[in-house]
Amino acid sequence: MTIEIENLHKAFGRHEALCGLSLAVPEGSAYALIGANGAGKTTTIKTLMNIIRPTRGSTRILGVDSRRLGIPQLRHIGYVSENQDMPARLTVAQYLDYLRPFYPTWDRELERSMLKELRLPPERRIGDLSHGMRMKMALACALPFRPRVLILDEPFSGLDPLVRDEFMERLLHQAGEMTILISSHELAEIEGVTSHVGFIDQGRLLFQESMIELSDRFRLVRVTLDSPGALPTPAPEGWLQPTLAGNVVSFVDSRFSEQRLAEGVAARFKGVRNVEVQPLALRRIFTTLARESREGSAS
Amino acid sequence: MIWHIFTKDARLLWPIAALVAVLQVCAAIPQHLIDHGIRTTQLAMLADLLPGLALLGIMVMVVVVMQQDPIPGARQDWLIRPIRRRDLAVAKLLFVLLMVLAPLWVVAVGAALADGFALRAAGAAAAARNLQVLCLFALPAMVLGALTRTFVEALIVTIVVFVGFIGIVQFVITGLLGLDQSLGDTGVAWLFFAAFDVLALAGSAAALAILHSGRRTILARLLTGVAVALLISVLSVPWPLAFSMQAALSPQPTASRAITVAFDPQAGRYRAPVGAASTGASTLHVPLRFSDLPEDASVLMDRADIRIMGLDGATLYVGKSTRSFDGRTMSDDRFEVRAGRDDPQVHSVDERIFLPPEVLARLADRPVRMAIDYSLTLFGPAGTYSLPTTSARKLYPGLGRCRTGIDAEGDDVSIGCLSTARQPPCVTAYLEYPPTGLRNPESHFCERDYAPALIAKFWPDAIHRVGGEVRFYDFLGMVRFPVDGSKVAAARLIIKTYDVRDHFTRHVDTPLVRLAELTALAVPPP
Repeated sequence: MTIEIENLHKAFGRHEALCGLSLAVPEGSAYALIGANGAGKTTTIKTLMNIIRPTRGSTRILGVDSRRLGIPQLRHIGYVSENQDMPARLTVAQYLDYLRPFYPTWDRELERSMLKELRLPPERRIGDLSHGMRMKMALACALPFRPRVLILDEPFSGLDPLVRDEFMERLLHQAGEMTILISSHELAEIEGVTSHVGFIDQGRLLFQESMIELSDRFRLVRVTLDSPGALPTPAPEGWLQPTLAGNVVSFVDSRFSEQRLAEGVAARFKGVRNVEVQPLALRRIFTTLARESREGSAS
Repeated sequence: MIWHIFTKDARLLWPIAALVAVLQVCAAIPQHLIDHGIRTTQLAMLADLLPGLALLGIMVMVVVVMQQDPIPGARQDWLIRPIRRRDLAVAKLLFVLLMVLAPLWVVAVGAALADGFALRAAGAAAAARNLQVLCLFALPAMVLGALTRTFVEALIVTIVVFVGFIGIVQFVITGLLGLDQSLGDTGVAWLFFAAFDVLALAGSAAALAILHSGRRTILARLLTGVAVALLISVLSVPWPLAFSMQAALSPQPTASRAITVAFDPQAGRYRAPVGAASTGASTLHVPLRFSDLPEDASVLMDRADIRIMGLDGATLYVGKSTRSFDGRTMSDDRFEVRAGRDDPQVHSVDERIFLPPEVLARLADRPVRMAIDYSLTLFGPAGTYSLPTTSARKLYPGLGRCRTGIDAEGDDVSIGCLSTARQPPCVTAYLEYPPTGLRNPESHFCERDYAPALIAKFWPDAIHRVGGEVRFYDFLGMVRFPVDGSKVAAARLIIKTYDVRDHFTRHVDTPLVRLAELTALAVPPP
């Protein structure tokens, strides 16, 4: 595993941001850490990067305890965050000049092509860049040394669609060379690049699995009945967010298998006219789980 | 990578560094002009103001360079870069040394060379001063910059610490606890600066190490708070302890052993000299008799702790005095007794004690006893110099590079001596006319600073100065000088210097007295 987090706790005063979080990011994967605002994604990443100290538990990256991250590891870790303050008074070119010697594997050619592709003005001061340009600048500072691990913390936050496309395009160029850990709300953007997903809520990891397994597991199911019916009570395990509209019952099946669904529908509904099953986008999976979690904690 | 980080900061901040360097040059110019006899009120104001601004500029510069890679917070880009924190700290220190203190050194050396000092002496004095500036200003500013994220934050912290420092010293230490700020305005005040040096050096080094190794800002802030608290406690160190530390550094610890001090009831009531300003109705003049002073020695009072007791022994007043007057010297704010003028063995002086008016009003006519603990410093002759009354700057070993001349009003011979080394703290000057041996009255001046030579001078610059004016003509016609305007061109200015020999204490008990009898007799109008 390139990244391993075990029983991670982090408290800010009386507020516990992380409560025993554990996750593992396999080498070569693109791991999306998803969760609602305040779920603990940024805290997890900052702890992983040794920017903040954990209250207890351990985080390891490239085989090294995060608290002991040193020059040899940081030379192979790229980091892009919406909360990243680069020296505002330096120009784009000056900052790249400054960073270059710290990375023995820095690829000057790659840097040049990135500057061109991302349309970053070398003579402009970083402080004068727009938010979107600054995020592209952060990426331009994170990729030219061909990192083994790239950590992206809400990289699309506040970016317009055009900049997102440029950002993703650039990311995809190198995605195969490295392990990626990305936290984002922009699930549509990352869906295409993600191989693994971890869902974090209130400082706990609710699940983590590969994108393939996740896609196989979640389905949107619409059951059309002959006449207006009622929601099954209790709903079978794995049927999330059931709704009734006239004679149509909809729900998200989080443990989908054709046989299990057929048995479940037959057992709970009479006069079934049609059963429609659709795969779910990551965004819909996330919103379903987030709502479920919120309602669960509210009840 | 240290140099690489340094060049990044230098490339960014050279305009500010250049501005601060220009400020250093501007700060040196007024004093240089004054040293060369150009004295105007505006120049004197600039000579006071600009060195302060230059030091402020240094502190601002240091804070700004530290905040280029801020330590507090979790958003800084450098945190996720393969940058050794030790390298970062050393690069910042290098910046302070090369971009902040090196220009200061160059300006100080340039000014000293312009004054005619040798490069080696000028360089050593400027380096010693730089060390002081590093300890007293640059290192604390580094900690301030490392503990704060923005310049505004640093400014607010500075104001809070400054106001807090003054508040604690004035209201808590002095007001609530009633402790004495014993070091201020005395010859041992250097102890405070020496403690500041040590605390700033040790505290800043520890805080910077903590901040750069583990970014533990809370611990570093606590440490800084402890250092400031220790500094405050140094200000309030009991006087006997401070003076005994000073006495332990006496060059000749037994030189004062034979000297006795006693109340002298035979001296009679004090009469102010004709024409002298009133010393005030609440001032007591305690007649004292000094015996067995070494030849040509001088004694300066550093402090007197006074207790006034009633007939029953109950304490009626406790106070201290650091200002007095012997009625004979021209210095009106110090109590000095000097041997070798009248009776070489016995010397009477009137010690001035300032009492709160309400205390004197309450006790004036009551029989009381006084117990006075004197802290005294013995000075001995160090050298005698004979200078023409008008001369260009010339080196006088032990005194410095001195120039003399008649002042613009034409009534004084002025002298100014510059030195890269510490000068003798006490000086006597008088005019002598060699053909007849006539002499004018002496002027005697003591600079109460007993700092050892290793405590370098840093304000306003590295140059030590001694100087003053010796009168030969009175425009009012009240005083006629033996060496007057007609003889001054051929006269010699005689300078005698005095070095510290010993610091010692004496206790004096008075018999029953009425305080009203110790006030000055009214001076009849001439």
